[in-house]
Amino acid sequence: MAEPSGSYKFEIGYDSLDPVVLKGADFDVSPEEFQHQVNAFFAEHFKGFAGSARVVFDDNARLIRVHWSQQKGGADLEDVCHELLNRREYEKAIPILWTLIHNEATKTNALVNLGMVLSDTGELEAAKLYLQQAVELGIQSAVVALGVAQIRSGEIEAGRDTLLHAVELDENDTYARQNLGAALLKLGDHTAAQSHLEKAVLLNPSNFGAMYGLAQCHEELDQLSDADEIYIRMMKECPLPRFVQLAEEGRTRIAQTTMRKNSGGNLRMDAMMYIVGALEKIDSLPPAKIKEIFAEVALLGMKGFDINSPEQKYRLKSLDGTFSGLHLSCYLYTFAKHLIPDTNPGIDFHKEYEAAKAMRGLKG
Amino acid sequence: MTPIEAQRACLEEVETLSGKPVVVQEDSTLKTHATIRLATTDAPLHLLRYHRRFEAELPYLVSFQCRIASRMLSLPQAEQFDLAVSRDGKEKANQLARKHFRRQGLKHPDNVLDGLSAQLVNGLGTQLRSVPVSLRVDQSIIADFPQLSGQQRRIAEIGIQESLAVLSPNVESITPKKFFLASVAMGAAVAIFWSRVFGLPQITAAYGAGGHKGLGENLLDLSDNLPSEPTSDRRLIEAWQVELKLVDFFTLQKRT
Repeated sequence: MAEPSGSYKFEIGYDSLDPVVLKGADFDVSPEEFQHQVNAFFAEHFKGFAGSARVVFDDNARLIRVHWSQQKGGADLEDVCHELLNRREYEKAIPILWTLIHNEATKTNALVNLGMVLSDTGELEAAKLYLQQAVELGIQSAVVALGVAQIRSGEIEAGRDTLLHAVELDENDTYARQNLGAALLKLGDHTAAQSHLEKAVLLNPSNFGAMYGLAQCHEELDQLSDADEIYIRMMKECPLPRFVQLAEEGRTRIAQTTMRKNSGGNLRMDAMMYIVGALEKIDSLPPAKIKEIFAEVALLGMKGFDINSPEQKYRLKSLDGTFSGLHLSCYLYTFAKHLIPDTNPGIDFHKEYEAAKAMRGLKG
Repeated sequence: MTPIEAQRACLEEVETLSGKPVVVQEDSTLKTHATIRLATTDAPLHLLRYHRRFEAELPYLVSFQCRIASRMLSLPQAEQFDLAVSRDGKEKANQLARKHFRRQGLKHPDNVLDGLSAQLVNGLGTQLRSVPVSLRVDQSIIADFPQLSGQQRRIAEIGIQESLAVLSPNVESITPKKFFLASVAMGAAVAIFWSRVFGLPQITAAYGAGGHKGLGENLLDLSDNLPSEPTSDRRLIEAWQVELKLVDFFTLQKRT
């Protein structure tokens, strides 16, 4: 789909050329004259242009191929490869990287890039081999990549040590700090992880990976309001849907933990009563109306319900009245269980749902 | 304002205009950079999908798609429109394509030729519906969000390169002349537009060699001579349609 930026190529048939290109000469001119006229046309077009252009004539296919680049000397293999890597077109990049590692001038960068690509594509043993070679050649960026590959292959402690070394080499490397934090988080050293992740976010406030790791640290350390604050910030600032989703899930988890804590881990009677109400609606309203309410509540809930506040601050178009976050979460859970039983409604009201059903059974 | 804040502002614009949320989803099966499907009575949200390969340009892509949606949503319901192949247009396109295929010696079963003809006319319709309005949107992004210019340029460069493929004799040989000229002229208009923004006239060299620049410039003149407000989008597309001699094939109809 993509072509390297700043580099263009096109082909045009001899028969599709505009007569103006040949300055009125017809197509019966000699091949030399024809090429001269076409070259003159493009030379005029690219006059004063700082890049490079190449015009190739293919007499058999009656085609002119033009390739031009905004960079002097044209886009070389390293540039092409760089663009492919940016676009995650790894299958196309790998053969080029193989070529580049056999050239002394391009070997070091290619070793790091090849190692990183292999690491990203799950070829972890090969990745570690190339990255180790790059580390031995003194390439600093390879140290972080090697640490990441080690963590990915399950060598968490080795990865932690490599990343500690990377942070020693450059204490302002946000990526090294982020991955070191992740390794420490996996090893259960939450306090140390927190300090590296805080630094990573400080160094780059748009490092949403580090931000998510930091929120997880806060959760592990039972600093739920700090974690929630970070999740809110991620939902507000992060452009990447997968991080926004993780933040939403984090907020739901925190809300649920807080709710359970507030009830001393017991059944939430208020939630159970809301679920009873929802079950009654399922019995009394037409299925289309239930679907309508469900769709509206689900949409409203995409940004998260504040289930720990009793304030009745939500309104629906499909149902009269005002509702608290907990009330709508209970509707969402119950209607989801009814309409799409296999779904995971996010928040867990299993105990309250079962109790509500049992209570209705007793009544009925 | 950062690129992320620009993205958020554009998302909010759509959500405020429509009262419905925009869901942004990654989709690696997408054949283009990004696309938006507006909410309907059956689908209660707008779905914006993007290809992960263009994650680095996500704020621009989201802003662009949202601005496309906003232009439509800012019109009264009765004035919102879609472009479709007209009933006569389908038949005429089929005849045109068959005549061209015969001349080119393409001997395929009828259903294959019908499929190819439908593909050509539908593709051209998509181009006619999107290109003139896209240029308007890009112009508004240049004016309102200079912080997106780097991302915008990268996506524009990719688009220009992709459009150049249409000039290939292989494409020309399977495309009826009328459709080929219209499609290339729209590609030329896009290249000329960006060549002015970037100060890079070289971008238009391919179209100059094929003699397509004049029609491309005419299309941009039509855009320049109409107000840039969304209420003019319909007239803008109609004007391009006339200039490209495509009146017989497409019709603008009320959006359902």
